[in-house]
Amino acid sequence: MSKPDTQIDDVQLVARLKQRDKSALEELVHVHGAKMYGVALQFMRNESDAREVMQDALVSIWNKIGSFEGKSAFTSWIYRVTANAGLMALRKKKRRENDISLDAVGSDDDDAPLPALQLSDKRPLPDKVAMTGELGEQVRAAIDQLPEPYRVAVLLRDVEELPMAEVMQETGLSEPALKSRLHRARLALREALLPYLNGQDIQKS
Amino acid sequence: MSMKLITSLWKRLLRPDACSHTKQLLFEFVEGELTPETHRKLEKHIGNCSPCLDYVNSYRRTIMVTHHHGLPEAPMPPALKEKLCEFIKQNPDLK
Repeated sequence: MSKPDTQIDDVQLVARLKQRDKSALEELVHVHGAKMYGVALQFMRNESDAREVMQDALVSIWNKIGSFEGKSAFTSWIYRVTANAGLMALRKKKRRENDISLDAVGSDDDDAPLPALQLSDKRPLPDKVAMTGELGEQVRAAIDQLPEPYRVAVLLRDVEELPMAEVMQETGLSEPALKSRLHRARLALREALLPYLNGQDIQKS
Repeated sequence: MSMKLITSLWKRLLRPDACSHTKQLLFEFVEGELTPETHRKLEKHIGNCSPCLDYVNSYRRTIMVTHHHGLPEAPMPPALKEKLCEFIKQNPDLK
């Protein structure tokens, strides 16, 4: 079976990057920049910080392209690099603000649920089609309201679908701590999104 | 009341609360981390318990919609694209 055009383009893009062709990096911005921006924006919440994350991600892609072996899709790899850049930027930001550390918000030993997330409007909409746009807004609003350590866990594991081991490595969390954080975040999201969940087909068995 | 019925009720009373198991093991169940035996037992209970089925399904749907809708759909501002291309051209780290 022949590969789709985007995959062929990515193969060529990777080859040019490995040959240190800087114009390939610009092409990458044109082809995959929108999704990278989405990842960066979800981590940083503002355009200015998202731009810095994208710049860091581009430098990482340039420096690490030699280690990309093509075992995963190139797009997955660059989004993962962007997510990692987002995580690093959040850490730097915390240090700059002399704020609480990533691990300090909320206790993983505490079984109390996270505070209820305040969404704009929980009334279910009349039909599934009409809900599509609304659902996306509510999901992003709910994620946005999670305390940062929980938001990071959800973004890395459930949005980007990084393997648990990789999320543990990136966040420095133990397996039980990560599981607890992720589970509590999911329960808080579930609670907030419950009116919107009916009618969403389940793909996993 | 027959001895058989009394025994059955008594066993049911002594049986650990299967619904609480659903909540306790929800994460591991959904992530496929339970032993096959435990998974099978829990799956059997969930299949016969409407509240647990709803609970598990809503948890799964939460993960699903989070994945599908978690990223902003806002397009990248054209000015940002230009700035990034300029960054690529000018940055000394990109040699």
